[in-house]
Amino acid sequence: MVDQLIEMYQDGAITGYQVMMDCLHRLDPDHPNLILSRLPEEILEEMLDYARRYDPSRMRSIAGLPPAADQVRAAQRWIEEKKRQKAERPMAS
Amino acid sequence: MGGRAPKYEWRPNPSGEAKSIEEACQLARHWGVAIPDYVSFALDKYGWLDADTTAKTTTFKEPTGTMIYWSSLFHKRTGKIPFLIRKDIMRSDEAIVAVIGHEMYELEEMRKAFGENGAPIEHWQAEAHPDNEGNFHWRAWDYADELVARMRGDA
Repeated sequence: MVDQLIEMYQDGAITGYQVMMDCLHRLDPDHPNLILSRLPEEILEEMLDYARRYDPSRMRSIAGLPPAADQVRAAQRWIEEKKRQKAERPMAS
Repeated sequence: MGGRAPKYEWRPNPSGEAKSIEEACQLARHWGVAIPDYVSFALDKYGWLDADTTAKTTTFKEPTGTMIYWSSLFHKRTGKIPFLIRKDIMRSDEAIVAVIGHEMYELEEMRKAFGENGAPIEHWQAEAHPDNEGNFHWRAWDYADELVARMRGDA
């Protein structure tokens, strides 16, 4: 499923926002790694921006429900942890 | 689609032959649909669109008040606004012209209304909502119906 979305994105058939949204809808909050580890960096950045403005009390959608709060928060934690680990990694000399 | 739906039941092509994206765009243009250079179409080859959705571009799900800009619709790598189109549409010339016509009409109205300064998500959704009579989405199906009527010689 994620592979299909990434392929469609790389082919220009859907935007990064759409990949991000469809992945959030399918994300298992207990195992975010299963989906997020396969996404390009730019999609993860888009997802982190989305998580930071996400407010479950005032979401608007005319095409099905928005992603659930536990899905969005799990994604946010995973991406922020990944960025933290990357920042702490010693620089190669 | 939902809400305002097309008036006509689109006739399948007698041969059952499916057109390519390029042929579909050419056909739509032949019947007067303006397809800007900044738009791209792709077949929904994996079946992501449900039975009620003939084609779609990016769907936004945001908190109330979030500004959506014209640039938000564009694919960052291709520089185009992508539309997925359901595979079965390609087996009917009427469906092709109606669906592409509908999407291009709605997109152009959105561009005229929100292209310069963007707008909060609720404004975009009000114009795209299938149940809001008279909005861009409704008028886009009116336009699509006119196209099919023209193809049948009814207009």
